[in-house]
Amino acid sequence: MSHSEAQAAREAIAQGHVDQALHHINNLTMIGGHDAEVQELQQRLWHYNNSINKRNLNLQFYAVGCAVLGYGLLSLESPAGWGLPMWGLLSLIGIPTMVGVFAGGSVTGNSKSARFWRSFTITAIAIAVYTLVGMLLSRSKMDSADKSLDIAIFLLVMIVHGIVAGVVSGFTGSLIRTKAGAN
Amino acid sequence: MNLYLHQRTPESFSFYIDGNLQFDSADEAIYHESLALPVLCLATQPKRVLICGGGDGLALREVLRFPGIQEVVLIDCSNDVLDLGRNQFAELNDQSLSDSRVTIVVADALNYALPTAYFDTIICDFTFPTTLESAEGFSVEWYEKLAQALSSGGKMAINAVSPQNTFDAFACLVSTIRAANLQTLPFRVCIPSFRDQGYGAWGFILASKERLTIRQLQNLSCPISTQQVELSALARGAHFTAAQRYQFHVAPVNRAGDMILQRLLVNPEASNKSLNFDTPPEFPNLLQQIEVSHPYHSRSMIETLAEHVAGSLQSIDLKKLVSELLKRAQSLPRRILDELEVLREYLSRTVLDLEIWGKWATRLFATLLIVMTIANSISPDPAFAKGHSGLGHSSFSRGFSSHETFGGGLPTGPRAPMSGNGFRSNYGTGPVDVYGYHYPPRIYIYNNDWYGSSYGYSSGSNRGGGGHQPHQQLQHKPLFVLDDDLLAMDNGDFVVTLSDKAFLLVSNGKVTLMDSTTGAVIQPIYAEPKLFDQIRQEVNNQSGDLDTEIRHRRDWLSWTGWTADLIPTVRADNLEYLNLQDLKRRLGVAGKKLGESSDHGSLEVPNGGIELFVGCHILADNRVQIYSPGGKYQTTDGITITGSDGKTSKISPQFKTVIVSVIKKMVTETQQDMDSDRKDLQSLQQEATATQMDLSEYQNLQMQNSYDPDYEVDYGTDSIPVGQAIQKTSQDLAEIQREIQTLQLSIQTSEQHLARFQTALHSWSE
Repeated sequence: MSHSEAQAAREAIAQGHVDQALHHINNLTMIGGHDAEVQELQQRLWHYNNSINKRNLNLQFYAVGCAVLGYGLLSLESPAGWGLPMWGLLSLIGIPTMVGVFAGGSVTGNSKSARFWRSFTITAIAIAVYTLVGMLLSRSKMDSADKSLDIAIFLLVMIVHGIVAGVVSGFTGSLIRTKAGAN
Repeated sequence: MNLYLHQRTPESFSFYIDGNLQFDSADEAIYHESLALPVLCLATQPKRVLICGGGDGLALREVLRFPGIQEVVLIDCSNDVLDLGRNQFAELNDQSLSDSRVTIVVADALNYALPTAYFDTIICDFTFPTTLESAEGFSVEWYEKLAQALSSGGKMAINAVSPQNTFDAFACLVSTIRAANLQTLPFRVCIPSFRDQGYGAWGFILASKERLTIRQLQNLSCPISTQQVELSALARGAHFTAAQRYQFHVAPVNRAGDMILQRLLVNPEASNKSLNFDTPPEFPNLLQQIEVSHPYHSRSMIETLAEHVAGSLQSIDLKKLVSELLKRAQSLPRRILDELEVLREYLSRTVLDLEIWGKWATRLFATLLIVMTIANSISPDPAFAKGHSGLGHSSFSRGFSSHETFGGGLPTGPRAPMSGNGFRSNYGTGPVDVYGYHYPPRIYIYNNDWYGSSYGYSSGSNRGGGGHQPHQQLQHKPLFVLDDDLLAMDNGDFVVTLSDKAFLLVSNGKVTLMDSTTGAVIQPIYAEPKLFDQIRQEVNNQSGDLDTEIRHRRDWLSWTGWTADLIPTVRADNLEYLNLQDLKRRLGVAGKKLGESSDHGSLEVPNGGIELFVGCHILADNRVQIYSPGGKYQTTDGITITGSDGKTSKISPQFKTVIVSVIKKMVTETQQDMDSDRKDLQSLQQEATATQMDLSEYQNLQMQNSYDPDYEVDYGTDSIPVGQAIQKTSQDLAEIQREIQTLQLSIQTSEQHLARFQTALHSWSE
């Protein structure tokens, strides 16, 4: 009996089913399994969780790095300099997709919405900052008769870019399947 | 009055009144000799002396030592001080208070009736004013009273305050004495015991109805010996900077009704602080405005106390308080109500915003900083837009304002105001320049087709400006202002404006002198290659600027272009972008149409001649020489015109009118240039005088402090060693002198030209 619970716990850990593994370890404890075996399983689960958490953290870091690097490189030229189709492809689809892959992967569990919002947030903030800086620099090079609406323009463009790229990234992120971890 | 005698040894002591050191036996002679002897030496054979204060008898000692003194009146309000003078200080003051020539009056000197024009010397030895009442002894009314008691040729010495620590108060005292119609000579002396107390160098003021100079102090001849003071050295302490001397003139006067002196003494920095009430002041600035009202209070005491009060106030919910007060508005006076309304509006406008936006602004700023740093490290220039030229910047100045009518063409309506948005909705309604300034619309009338096809006409019978009328004249508008007198027309021609009656038409490699009133051709002109090169260069430069601006707008619109339907500003930016492209294209066409000069080789200005315009010179004998295409020239004296082949004909009235109008314009412009140069010269000369004064000041300071080569002085906003300041000021002065010479040369040339133009104008107008 205790042998089969221990075996089931090992299999659950190997498959990344943390909840099931915990369930089997609890059962093993209740039916009087060997302390050494219970401790070994608990340690195995702890190591597994640690590795998952570390992976998640790395993926988040990659997502942010990808966004910073992507939009940083994109800022070398204005959208017109890249050509609008190319710029749109890179800034609204290419970079958000890559960010989505990393950010979506950094969320454990089956929640698609959690993966969507994490990807959305990282991409939207990154493109909003990139857009704001790009627009500020661009605006500083020219004078305009009327600057009263500049803040409104900045906000509008930032929000629209943020939403478009965020949705693309979020959608990509939500499609990513990951191993479950102990959240 | 609290008296305190600090007896260090039987022979050595110091004396305090109300906590202020009056003298220290170790160096009191410096004080009393500086106070009493210079004034006695300067007075004409002093016999009768008045001493106000000075109950310690020490100033009296110096007076009695002076030969010829017959009578001394000493007025002091304190019996206690006089008792000390008669007993404890008797040895120090040589028992001066017991001298038979001395009359002691125990009274308040301010209320004591003084005889008129009686005293040859007056010495005011009042203690440092610690209250408003005691400051009355330093008021203009008191000095007026003393001035009346002063005999003719009499002199006065006044114990002042420290010019080092309380310069504003010292200046106030000088100003107050001057207000009593007395001439002053302020000076300062370093007294070690005073310095140890933190009083700084001490000030005295000599006063007289006659003028007093530093030289008099330098040349003092004293018949008695001194213990601690070298009288001739006192003059060193009488040197003050120009700014300080200026303060002596403008400092406020201490009057009975306005005892400003006491306020300046206890608030030495008061005059340096000003509060701008246009914006709500910061709390620390506000604290600085609170005046110290008593000499025993320090600023830090006042500020600590005020901070406690402010701390209590800060705990109040100000918005709520104001709202509550407004609820009870009925019982409040109208004025307070108005102020509360203003306060409520201010609070609702600022406090909340600051709290919320402050947090977010910090976060956003940090993020931006990181991103921009990364972007700049990858690509410095594109990211930070260094060196952009700008367009439509109203701050750009190009000296165009005096020529805004271009000196030619016909006005078509009321004068339009200049603006920086000439590439927006105004585009096409009048000429613009590269800065986006919009100029009044103009029209130039001429026949383009005729002009282009019958150029050879000038060699015909109308040579010399026959006023040929074209068959069909067309109206052309200037599109772009390239330079003060250079316009690009809508059809790609270029116009060089000469006067209100003439212009040069430049196109297809040819130049023609035109009558701007009728549009008639006056004379084909030698196509000077330099003119074409200049125009081409100007077109290229400004096309380059337009390119830059077009690129900036393209970048901006690549971000925002899709919002053009929603946001009018972006729509206007888009319009500007299209108009700039249109202008760039038209300038390109004009550049091509300009062509190459049909003549080759540059013209030399004839000996003694001055250029009126390209290909036209005014000669030394006032005749005008004008070159035709091919290099042939004609000379005219305003009546006849002679070709290079010697043929003579009568000059047309039209040609003469045009030449006269150009000369007139040259007169006006030269005059304006000269006026401007003269103003500049005047400013430079003033600057040179001021710099020279500074230099003298530095040299004096260097002499006075020769023992300290690192003695620092103010130089601009810096403090640098005096030697360095002298070197830099000398360089500045030399630079200014060079500029003055250049300007004088320019004015001289302009004067010569003006004289020539005026003579020519006179000759041509006859």
